[in-house]
Amino acid sequence: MARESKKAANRVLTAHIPSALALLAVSVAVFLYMDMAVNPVLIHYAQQPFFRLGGAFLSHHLSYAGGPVEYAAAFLGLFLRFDTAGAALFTLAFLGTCGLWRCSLRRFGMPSGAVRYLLPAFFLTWIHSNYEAPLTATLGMGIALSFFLGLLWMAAGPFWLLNLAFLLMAGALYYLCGAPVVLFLGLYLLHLLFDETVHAKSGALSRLLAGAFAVFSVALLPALLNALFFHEMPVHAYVHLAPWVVKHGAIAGIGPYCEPVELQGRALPPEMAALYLLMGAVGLMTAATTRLSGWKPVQAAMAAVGKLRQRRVIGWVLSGQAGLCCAGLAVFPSFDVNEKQLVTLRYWADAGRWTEYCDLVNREMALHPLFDPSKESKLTDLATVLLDNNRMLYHMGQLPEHLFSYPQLLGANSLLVTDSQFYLENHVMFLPTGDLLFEMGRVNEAERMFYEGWAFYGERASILWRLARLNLVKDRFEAARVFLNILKEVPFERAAAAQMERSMDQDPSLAWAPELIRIRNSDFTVDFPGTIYGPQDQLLAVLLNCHPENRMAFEYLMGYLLLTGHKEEVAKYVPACKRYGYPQLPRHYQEAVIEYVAERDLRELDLGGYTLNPETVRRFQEFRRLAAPCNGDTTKLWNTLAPGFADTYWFFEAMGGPGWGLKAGEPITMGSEPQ
Amino acid sequence: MTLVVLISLAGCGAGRPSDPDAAVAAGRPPSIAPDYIGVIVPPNIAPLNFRVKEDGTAYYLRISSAQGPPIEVADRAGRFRIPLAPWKALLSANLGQPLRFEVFARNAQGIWTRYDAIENTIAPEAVDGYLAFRRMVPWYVTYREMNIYQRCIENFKERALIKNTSVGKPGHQCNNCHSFSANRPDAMTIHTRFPFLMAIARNGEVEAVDTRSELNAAPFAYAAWHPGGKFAVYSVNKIIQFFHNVGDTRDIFDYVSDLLLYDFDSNTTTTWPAIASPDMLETFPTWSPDGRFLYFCRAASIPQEDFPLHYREVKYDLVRIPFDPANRTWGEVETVLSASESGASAGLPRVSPDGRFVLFCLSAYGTFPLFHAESDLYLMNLESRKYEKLSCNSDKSESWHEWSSNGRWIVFSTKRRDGLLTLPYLSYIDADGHAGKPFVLPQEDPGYYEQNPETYSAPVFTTGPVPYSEQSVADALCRKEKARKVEADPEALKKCRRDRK
Repeated sequence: MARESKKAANRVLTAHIPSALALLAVSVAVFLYMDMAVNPVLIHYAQQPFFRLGGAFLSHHLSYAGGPVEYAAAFLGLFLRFDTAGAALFTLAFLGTCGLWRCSLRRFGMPSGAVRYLLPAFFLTWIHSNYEAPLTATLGMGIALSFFLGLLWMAAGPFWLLNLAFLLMAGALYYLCGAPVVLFLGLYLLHLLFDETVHAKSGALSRLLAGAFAVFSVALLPALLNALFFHEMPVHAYVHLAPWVVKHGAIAGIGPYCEPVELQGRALPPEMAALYLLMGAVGLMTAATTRLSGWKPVQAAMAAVGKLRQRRVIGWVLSGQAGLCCAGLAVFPSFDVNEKQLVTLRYWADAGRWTEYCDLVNREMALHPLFDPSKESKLTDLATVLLDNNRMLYHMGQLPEHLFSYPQLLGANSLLVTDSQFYLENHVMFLPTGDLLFEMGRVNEAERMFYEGWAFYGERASILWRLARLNLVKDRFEAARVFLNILKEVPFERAAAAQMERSMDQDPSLAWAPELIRIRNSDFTVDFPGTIYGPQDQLLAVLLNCHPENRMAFEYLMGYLLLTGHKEEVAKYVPACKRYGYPQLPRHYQEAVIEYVAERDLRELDLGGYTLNPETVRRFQEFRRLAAPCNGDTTKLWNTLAPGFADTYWFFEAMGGPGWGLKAGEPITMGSEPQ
Repeated sequence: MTLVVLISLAGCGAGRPSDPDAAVAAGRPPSIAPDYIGVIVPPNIAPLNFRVKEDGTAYYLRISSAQGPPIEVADRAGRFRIPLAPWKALLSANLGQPLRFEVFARNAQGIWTRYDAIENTIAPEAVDGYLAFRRMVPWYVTYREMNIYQRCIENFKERALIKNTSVGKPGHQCNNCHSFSANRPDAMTIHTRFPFLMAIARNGEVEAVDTRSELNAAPFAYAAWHPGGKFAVYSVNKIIQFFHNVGDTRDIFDYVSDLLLYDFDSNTTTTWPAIASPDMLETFPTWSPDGRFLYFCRAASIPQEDFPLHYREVKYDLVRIPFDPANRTWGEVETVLSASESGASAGLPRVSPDGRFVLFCLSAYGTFPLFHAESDLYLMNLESRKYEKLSCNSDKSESWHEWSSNGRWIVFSTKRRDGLLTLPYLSYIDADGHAGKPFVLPQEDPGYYEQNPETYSAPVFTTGPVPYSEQSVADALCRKEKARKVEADPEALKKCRRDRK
């Protein structure tokens, strides 16, 4: 007896140990992938989930459908700021999805040993590697699957109880998570269609629910048509069309009934919608190949697929293709190999870690498709990188030396965005621009940018910090206190906020914050009203006039003049370079001056005691000699001059300014940090 | 009948001094937030919940007046939430009487300190029970939530009149310029931008109109309902938002500004050269209570290209024009207060319900006092034409003021607390036009304003709750296709075309 039970136990262990070990191995791989390859810290940076302690924040989230799961996701999202905790969180999500989905598939009669249950969890992991997938959808999906399993567990009970539970759970799920109720409904309908125990009890109910599902699916029709005519991914099209459905629903007087559609549109990122479709497809495929009963037309269709499946080769082809389609659907919109680099660059720029920024940009970005003229660039990403590149150059003390070693594809907009339309269409620029302006001492303009960023991103601790500091600079201590009081309710920010408030109260002179004093002392003292995109050269000149020691304003003014081709103005400002302690006249200033002198055939020019480097003069003569036969043909100019002169002002100007695709230049060396 | 005294022990174990009179006297009043010290309060106001900014491990508050039992509140953190029912009973039983707040704090050694009593006053006259306002983070061009709310100021209940997310996609969708007919909650207009529509709620119905017509390319903006409620005057403005590098960041300038009269029943708009001169900027209309005078602000316009250099020279006069409501005819414009006399720019005139006073702002220049730290409230006696700066002003911006229907209370927006966020303050105005010390609208959470990054724009009193649901207003504004387009009056249109030629 004992031997038999031991044998049985051994059989169970033998059957389960390999799969458990495999799952463990996969989990470790997922952990390492998320920790080392993706880096949860970057996910946290990209999303910056905002969570506040206290009843007001909780009650706000309890006041609308989908709020509770947003609250939970905001809380869990806090832990992504630690790479290990974040990776553990994603691994748990992976395991949870595996477990829940495996149980679900078993209800559909999944053959033992199949690994289809791993697919959604894998896709979920990939989706989270795109840095933007919110935890809200992941949590919602887990809760929806749990509810579904809970419902199936009740399927053994009385039929009325099942129906009651269905209604209650659907309602509760809609309140808790919002959009994931779609997954719950979809899975349950699949179950009704294929599970003979339920169907046997009420075929009519099965048909009724299937009909409801069909009505709901009508909402997808415009999306599919859109996909057909405008070549848009169906999931994207659906998300984009949700507001349209709501709007026209309101016009037709059925606004409230369209709310679920709107909620899906807002809460479901396309990647998660793809995951939902994938799950449905896997479930459908499994059901089609196993127990078949239910609604007759579907039964017949599935039986046909099932028969095909029984023919081994066709079956493998079918299921293989279905799997590939689903994988493609899920992965296509989320897979971007360059995204990590871009997020990392922004992360380091935000943190002021310019050395790391410089290393990465020199190591990786030279081959980045953003700077490849043969590939379509994403303008927003491009502008952000260009702006940060130049800010990095300033901090490395290399802006006057290496401005043209880096792509300036947007001309002066690479240095300071001046185009209002660009801002309105590329909201992601608000915060980088605000940071740049704040650092330069253009405090009022920075304030506007921070608020625009807030409107775009929503409440974020990093934005509240910006506004707290800005109000300190503006001597609005009580306003700063408002932001600090909020931050004191944000986990991980509390101590720093309380410390800043204490310092502010103890020493209003801000002696404890030299950087803020520096910014305050760099701000305008003379008003220059206008639009924020106004003439940057004039704005910078006024700022410089207020504070001639503002080196950043000077270098940005000179950079702006170089990028807009104002050589005469550059020459005019050259004598002022002495003020900033350049040991010799910076290279790009020399290049502009040499060209200016040559063009005007000037004999004398006040260089404020600086002299032109003979080597630079020689290179200019060489440049002209090589450029002359090209007769302004940009292709010839490129081929002839790029190898030796790509990083010069002359080349930039000869090529007609921005628009050419210069690759990132050679790695630059650490320069002197601006004083 | 004996009133039962409710003792709120919100902070469990906070306790109270066994013998309050034996507590050590601090010799000064406590520091509290919000500042509810020495204020005159209406008898129907919600409890003035506040936070004590003194060190301590437990706090105790005793509120008393001439009649009735005192209210006692204890809290460990000194965040006093005063119970509503006893507060109401105390205030209503003591009209015109002092209202005394006694604050005690216990230190770590268990010794209680008694601060000097805070002496407030209960006014004999009530204030209108509801306040409508727009509340939002001070957005610039891109918006997230920008909603208009109504708050019952007799308690803490608040509801949205319109949310921008109900009308369109957040981003640039803006709700603004809520206005009511003589503090009546059942006659209201609200404007929305993207789509450019105005919701008109009156006679139990809500409809949307597109206010742009052949007379006005720009939509309606600042509103003034005629007391009869059948028509209103609106400004139409070509506005630019611009920015300063020093001081307040934002500013507003009107390139063009005219006034139009809109008839709700006929859906037509008309105008008159005296209120829509091409050479002048007319804005901020408001009616006298008898509806026989339209007050507004007026300045000579400057060419658009001169704006950057000369915007500071644009100063508005306060003027009025007689109006015959029966024939809808206008008289001649009369200057009430010229910019040359005041040396400043007048804005937002509001005539008191008894017609004796006009309340307005004076700022250094221009047309948007909210963004001018120097903007202050002034009150002019319309008989003597003497005007004076109200004592309720601060060194920060005061603007967007309104009268309660009995003329004893004003509400206004001010940035006095932090120079950034506008908050609604109420102030008592006595029969001679003198203002009492203002106080901020009380909130249920005593620390609400200390961690609220939003501004309250354009508070307006109403005598009751608005009877239209947010859904009904949003539905009307969502039906863009069904919105009626405002018709221009043919006569006015002819005149306008002649002028343009």
